[in-house]
Amino acid sequence: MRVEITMPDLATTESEVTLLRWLIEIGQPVQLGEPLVEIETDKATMDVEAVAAGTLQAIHVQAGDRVAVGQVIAVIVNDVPEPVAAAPAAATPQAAAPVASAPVPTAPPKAGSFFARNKAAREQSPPADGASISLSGIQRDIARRLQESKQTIPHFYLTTSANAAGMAAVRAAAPGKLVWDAFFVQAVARALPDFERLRYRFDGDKLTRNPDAIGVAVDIDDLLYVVPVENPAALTLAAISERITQRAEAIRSGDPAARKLAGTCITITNLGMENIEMFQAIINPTEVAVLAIGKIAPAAVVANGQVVVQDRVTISLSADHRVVNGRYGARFLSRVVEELEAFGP
Amino acid sequence: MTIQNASQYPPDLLLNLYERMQLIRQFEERVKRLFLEGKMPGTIHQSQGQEASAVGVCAALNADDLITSTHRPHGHALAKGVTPEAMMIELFGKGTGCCKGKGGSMHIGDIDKGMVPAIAIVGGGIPLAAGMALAIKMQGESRVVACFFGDGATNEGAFHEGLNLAAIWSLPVIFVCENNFYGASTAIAKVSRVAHVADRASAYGIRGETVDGNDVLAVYEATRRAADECRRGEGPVLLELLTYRRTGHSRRDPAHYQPKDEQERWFARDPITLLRNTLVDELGDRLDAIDTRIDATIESAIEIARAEPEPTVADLTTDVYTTEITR
Ligand SMILES: Cc1ncc(C[n+]2csc(CCOP(=O)(O)OP(=O)(O)O)c2C)c(N)n1
Ligand SMILES: [Mg+2]
Repeated sequence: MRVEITMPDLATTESEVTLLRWLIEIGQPVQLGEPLVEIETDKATMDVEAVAAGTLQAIHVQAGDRVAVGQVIAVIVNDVPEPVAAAPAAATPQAAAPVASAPVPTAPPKAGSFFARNKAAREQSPPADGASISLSGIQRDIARRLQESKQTIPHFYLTTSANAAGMAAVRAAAPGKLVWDAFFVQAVARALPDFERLRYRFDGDKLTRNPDAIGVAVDIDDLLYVVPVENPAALTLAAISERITQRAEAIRSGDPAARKLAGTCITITNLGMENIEMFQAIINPTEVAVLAIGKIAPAAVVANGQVVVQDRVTISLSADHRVVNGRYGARFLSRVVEELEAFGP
Repeated sequence: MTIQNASQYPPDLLLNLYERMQLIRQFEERVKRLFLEGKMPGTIHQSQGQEASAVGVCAALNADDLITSTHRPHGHALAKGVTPEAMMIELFGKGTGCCKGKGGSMHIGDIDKGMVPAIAIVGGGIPLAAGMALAIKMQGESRVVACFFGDGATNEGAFHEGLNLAAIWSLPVIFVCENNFYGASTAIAKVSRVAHVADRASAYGIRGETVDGNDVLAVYEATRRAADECRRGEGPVLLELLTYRRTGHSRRDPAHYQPKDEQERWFARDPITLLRNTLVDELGDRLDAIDTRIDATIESAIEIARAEPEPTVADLTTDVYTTEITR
């Protein structure tokens, strides 16, 4: 039988959804209920399950396309006999080999949900002259979270610098290429056990324990993600580095599980590669602090009464004043500096 | 994992509980597919994962006992004996459905089976259940009312008013809170400082009990005890059944707020798998036969529903308070 797969009515206030990516390739088998395609609605990203088993024969819409509810998005073929009263279209012989067929002209979209129709009736169509840029659900979500963080968390900021020579030497001697962030994750992981409060978040009238994982901020296709490094204290530098690279790669390849927000207590964010000397970052809720890393560059410093040239890095801690005070944060940051300077071949 | 003490129960009862739960699961799964295929209109709130609470409670009731239900009513209805055909016809919006196609998913019910149409207003069934129980008491009957609601309903004003009223008049109501830990996307712990919903019973001077809502026999036993108390005039009782939904709040919700480890813990204690594992050694063949029979029942319900007539324009003015619109 040839089963036309249509876009289900999964959006809440719109009559269209965005197709993010196909989870099954053309020509591959599909099970009933298996995730077939990932979409983004006005409220969330989600997988759409296959409503028929068989082989994915054709797809009619591509990643990034806006798709109307009820529009045919794919065709699955299987051995189930055609129902007797089959529509004439279904009686056409099946193509022998799987093909990516040309996009089907969009069927007139089925009238959307009650809410969608109401909303459409209320709204003018948005100006197409560049006067505005519409945001995707994820972009809106990130914007909302950052605004909420900056408005509700009383941030305070501490800045200092560390000698980066030891790190540079370790990195030069390491067999693979270690990502810089790995050093900062390890230094923070080593410092944290003596600064337990940074593992908690403010929660109304109490502090609630956060997960131990340390996050690393990555910017992928202009979207911000936090890659969690779980159990960082038990990992070697190489393992931390590997983990960060792998997870960033998984996000880049569109793995929905990797894109989900995981629990972390502190995030490392790095703009050194963009030539930024120092900056102060916004805390990623529900974390308690964020450590901003600047560029590692030679600087003239006074050591033992002599002016010497040293590779240095400037780091800034933004922390939630409801959880820790300035002195506590300062001691933590100094400890991170000690840990960073303890690296050496 | 298996259920302890199952061997104390007659096989027919155990098989019946299994069949009811499996009927709900398969019904919900099939309805989900119809929705995804665009063949079923509207959104739906489904109950995969919560079958043991619906079935355990209703199995402990008599046919003439009453239930009230919520926006998530399919399981309650099937457990109380509303037929899959009547429900499917209603879900397709056909004129011959159990609410003549005018109610749809969130108003499923059949008073002949002891289920008043479901009430989608969160907590809305609670005062009504108290009222129904008052009627029973005033008429000197020994029936009871089981009132289903979610954890989210416990912060509605209606919860307080309904429980208090039922308490002061010792009304025969079993207040059944299906605590699936979320009201839509909000975790119960975020909106209540009370560790167990059952603890709230003490505020009304009634008995409360927290029960493993995925163990159908535990639910059955707890409901039997509660129903006995109610029939003796010692009600009402507040039962809290701990359970978990295996689907989004509605079809449009991917439930990203359910942490993965929490999901895995609960999915490992799926109520149907628990009972199946318990029975499979001795009754495996009969379980398989039940599964096949249910498939056929549901497919035939869909066939029947599809063939039923659509409501007509004239139906718009039936079952309403006025027949003619005057300007
Ligand atoms: C009075 C009222 N407020 C809000 C809603 C919207 N609503 C529908 S279901 C729901 C969540 C209910 O949660 P819960 O009582 O825990 O039941 P569950 O969905 O978990 O079965 C909400 C907020 C409603 N139907 N009625
Ligand atoms: Mg709930």
